[in-house]
Amino acid sequence: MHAVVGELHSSSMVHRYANNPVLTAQQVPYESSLVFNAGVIKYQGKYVMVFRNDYNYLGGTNFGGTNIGLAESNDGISWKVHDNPVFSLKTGEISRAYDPRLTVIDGKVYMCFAVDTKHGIRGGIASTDDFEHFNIISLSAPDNRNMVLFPEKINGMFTRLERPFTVYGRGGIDRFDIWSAQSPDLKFWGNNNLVLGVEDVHYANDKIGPAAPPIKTKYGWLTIFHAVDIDKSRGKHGWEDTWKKRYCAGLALLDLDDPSKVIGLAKEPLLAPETIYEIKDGFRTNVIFPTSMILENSGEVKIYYGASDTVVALATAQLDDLLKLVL
Amino acid sequence: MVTQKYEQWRQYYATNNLPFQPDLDAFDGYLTFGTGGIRGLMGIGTNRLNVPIIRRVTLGLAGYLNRLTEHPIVAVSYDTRNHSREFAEAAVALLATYGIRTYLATEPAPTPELSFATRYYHATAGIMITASHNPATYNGYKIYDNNGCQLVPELSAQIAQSISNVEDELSIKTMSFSTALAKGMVSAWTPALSVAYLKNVGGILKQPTIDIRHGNELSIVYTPLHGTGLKLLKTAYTRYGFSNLAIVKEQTICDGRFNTVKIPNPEHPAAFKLAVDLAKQRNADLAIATDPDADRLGVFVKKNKEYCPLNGNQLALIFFDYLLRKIPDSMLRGRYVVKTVVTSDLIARMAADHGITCVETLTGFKYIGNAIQKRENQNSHFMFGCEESFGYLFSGFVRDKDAVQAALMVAEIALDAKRRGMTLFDLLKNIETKYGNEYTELLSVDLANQRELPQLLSKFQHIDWHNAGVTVSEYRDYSDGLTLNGDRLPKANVFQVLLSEGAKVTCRPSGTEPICKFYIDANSQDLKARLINQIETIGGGRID
Repeated sequence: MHAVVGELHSSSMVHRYANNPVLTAQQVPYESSLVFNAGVIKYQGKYVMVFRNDYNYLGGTNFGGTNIGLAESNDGISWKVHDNPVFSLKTGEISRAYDPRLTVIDGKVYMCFAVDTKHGIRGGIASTDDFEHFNIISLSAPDNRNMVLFPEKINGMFTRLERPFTVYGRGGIDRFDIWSAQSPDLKFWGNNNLVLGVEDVHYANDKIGPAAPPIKTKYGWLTIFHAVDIDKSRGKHGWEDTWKKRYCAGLALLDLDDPSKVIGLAKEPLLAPETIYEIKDGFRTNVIFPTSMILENSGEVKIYYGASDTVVALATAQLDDLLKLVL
Repeated sequence: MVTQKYEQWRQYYATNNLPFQPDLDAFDGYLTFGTGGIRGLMGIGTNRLNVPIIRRVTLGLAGYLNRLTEHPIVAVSYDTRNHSREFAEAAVALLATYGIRTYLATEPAPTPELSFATRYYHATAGIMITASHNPATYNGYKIYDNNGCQLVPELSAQIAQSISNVEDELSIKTMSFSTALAKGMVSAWTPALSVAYLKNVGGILKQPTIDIRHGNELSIVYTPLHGTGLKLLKTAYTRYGFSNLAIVKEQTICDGRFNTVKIPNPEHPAAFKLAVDLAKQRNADLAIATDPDADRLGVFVKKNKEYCPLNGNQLALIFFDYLLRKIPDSMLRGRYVVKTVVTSDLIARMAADHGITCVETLTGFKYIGNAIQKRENQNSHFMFGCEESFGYLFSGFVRDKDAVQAALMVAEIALDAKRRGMTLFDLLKNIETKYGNEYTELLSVDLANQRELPQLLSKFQHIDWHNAGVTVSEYRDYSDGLTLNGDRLPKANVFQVLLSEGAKVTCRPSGTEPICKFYIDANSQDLKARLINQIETIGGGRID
């Protein structure tokens, strides 16, 4: 049984961009139905975004396909989408790749992504120098997704947060948590540790998972995550007949040396679905799915999130304010 | 004077070849059956607790239950005191004689587990043989209703009436305990009960996976004070991550004499002597103690190199503040906290600050349990219950104070604080900064006998509070029956002076002992001192 969470509100510390969304399917010059869940970095003087593109809507929850598109921006707000998608996977075993996150480590760009296969969902890591050619470094064992890489090695090791799907071991229902893992080479992963359980997040009764690559601060790694609650009384939302979940964004602070240690946790959601594009207009409403954070020199943090699994939206906050929520 | 009762008892003991050496007051009437049952010295006589008196009370209860329902069931537990198991068996055998099935604890078990067992087994009532934190010479018989809540006056009056109809406790017919067992009238508590209880206890934690991962960073010393708390509390700590636990071995022995401690009451700092010694050896963060029936929790906290106690109000503030800090504001809506009228008013101010209802009850956790019961179907959610005498409750699966819940929660809070470089005392400072200061004191006047009480009450009512530089804003006489938060309170011998300066003084005579307690609740040290002075003028002294 899930205890009903009830009404939730976004933190007053965070502000949505007034002209949200910042990217929609209409801006995509190739077939596109929904664009969301975008990895965004500042790279070589520009903002670079890779985003999930679901195209050829067939009704229900079915689409003709999914690929990953690329967009560029000078200000992180106005985006120009490249003419063609830049990444897709489809083989006899693999049906699609999606939900990309970007991290720059030692000047090199890495992309984490999810891969649907006939034998489960896998988490992938690839590197790229030009956003045209991607070198797949590793694919996890299923089921695992929502991987994010830390922007630097910790104790000499690459480190990631991830969300394995521990269905059998958690009573046969969604009870997904945030874990950490480390690797010497991004290929072989170990030192797995539970970071945060869904039970620790009071506005989640279903699952939590990593959202964006963490930001390093002197107090710890500032980390955003998604938190999901189910309310069976919820009826139709979006295009589907029923959708009873709600995705919010949460905020935590992890230990600098051992990021499997949570040293701060905001008691309220950072972002909860409230606007029209989050609760009314869209394929799967009631969803805020953060995927990227960029710390500007001014101390402003840009938070990119998928809204209603339909568009990419932007919210901003001051780093000091975010730290106040977790210290 | 040799009374008829005395003679009956003497003959009874002679017939049964038992030594008969009653105390002088052993036949000064019967032990009073009050709102929680009976409590008194063990020994021979009607004014003592012994098997015939246990049977008398149980017969009264059996009559009440058989009138109440066709097939009553009773859950029974007992603490580690001398004769507790014997009394429990006597009660169970008598209930079986009157066709009442029982679920009996297989070993001494805490009061909160009995409350839970009453609910778990869908029992009509519960019996707990315990004198809680009283000295070893005492024992008691507490009755719980079908909700696992101690009896409130209305119910206890009905049972008391039923008991008073039992005129001859020595001729009560009863089968033996072994016969009751053989007839299948007595079922033992199953391990599933403890499993269910512990699962529920884990549900109160606010960051359980962090506790699991990092609980061993907190060093805890625990003493059950020879009581029932050890098994459940140790299991709960281990299961939920607090494995860095050292236990005062000398006080783990189920010794009804409480041989290593004068009074097994965690309210008394002296009860922590061995626990603090061990904490110093281990450089532990906390030393905690539970009373013999594990419903009260006391805590000492490492402060620099010393260990300092938290009083019951301070602990309540720390608990409540933590819940307020961890539960999102939107989820606080519709929740309520329950405190007694003598528990710190800062709780009420904190609740008001967050838009939470603070329900006030008379002193005693039976009223807190009852307040939860009243609101069960009202779309409001219980959040926390507390009384200043070290009683706390975080979840309504138990309806009495629960030291196992409190012990687990205080560990989680201390761990959370420690990982941020703080102690529980630092948290208290933060609370004061945020909500204002709170200074409480408990004073008592020892009376020669109950007959002196009216004179003392009169003195209290005639204190000239202007001498303390304060102004009375309201005088509450609970003996008239007051309505607070929409709840009509039962009449109680409690008198309260509310002061315009943000303080209150409560006078509460004990119902069973020749003692009158005075509770001072002030928002500054100076004001508290002035109020203490006034109480001292009528004979009040500090309780250590």
